[in-house]
Amino acid sequence: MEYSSINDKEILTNFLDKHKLSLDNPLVKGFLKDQTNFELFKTAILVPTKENKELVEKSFGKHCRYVRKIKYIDSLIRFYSIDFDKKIRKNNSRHLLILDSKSIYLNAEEGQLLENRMSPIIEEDYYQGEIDMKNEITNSNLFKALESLTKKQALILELFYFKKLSIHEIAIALDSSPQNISNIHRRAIFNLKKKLIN
Amino acid sequence: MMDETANIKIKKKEIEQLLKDFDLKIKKCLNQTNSSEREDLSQEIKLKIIEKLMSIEFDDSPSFWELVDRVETKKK
Repeated sequence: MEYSSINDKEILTNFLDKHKLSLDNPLVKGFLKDQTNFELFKTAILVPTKENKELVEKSFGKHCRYVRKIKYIDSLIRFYSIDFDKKIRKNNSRHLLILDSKSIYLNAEEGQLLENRMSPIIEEDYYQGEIDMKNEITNSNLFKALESLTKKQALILELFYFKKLSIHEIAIALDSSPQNISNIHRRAIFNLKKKLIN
Repeated sequence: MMDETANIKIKKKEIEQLLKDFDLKIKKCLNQTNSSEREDLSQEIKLKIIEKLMSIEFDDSPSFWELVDRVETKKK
């Protein structure tokens, strides 16, 4: 039994050595990275029957199809989003929203520019509140992850990314050292990443 | 008939998994467009992916053993 397993190993390493170049092919490499695929491959080399080879073939075909699909979707997403953006821009440039032209529905004010009809815009009409980090987040997962941070971590992230302060300025504002701020910032990013990956 | 429905079921599951895997990639691509169009774009991309996966056959994969042997013969 032991003898045969040593022999098996030799055959396998021999084969791997002999076909080193072709096994470096990324497609083949990725295929053999999977444990079950490698087992199939091993048995096919040690017991090179037609059936065993067929099994590897079948599994490899599946792998190829999967890789091709991923590649396809990857470029689809990239190019489709670019095309979509182009389409929107083209559409916007061709169909401008013009309110200044005469309107058949507004007889009394016919011919007047829209801006003359409206009351002057007062700046107070606009929302003047502070820019809050949590109001600006559109990704719901990111929002949830942000909720899990400590107050100090969230504050530092807000000052750094939304108020665009430097680490040094934050340190002065919070009465702390730049190293400490940098540490907290790093930990906050690390925590966020961990939450998002889960 | 039964076989076909089972096939479609498997395909659907696969597509769902692929959509899930590509979720982050899609989200990243949304950043380049106007914030008001993002929802639309994300839906359209997903729709397109499903459409393509349903219609395109990703066959004609190379044979494994041929691929392994090919490079060797080239070397000789």
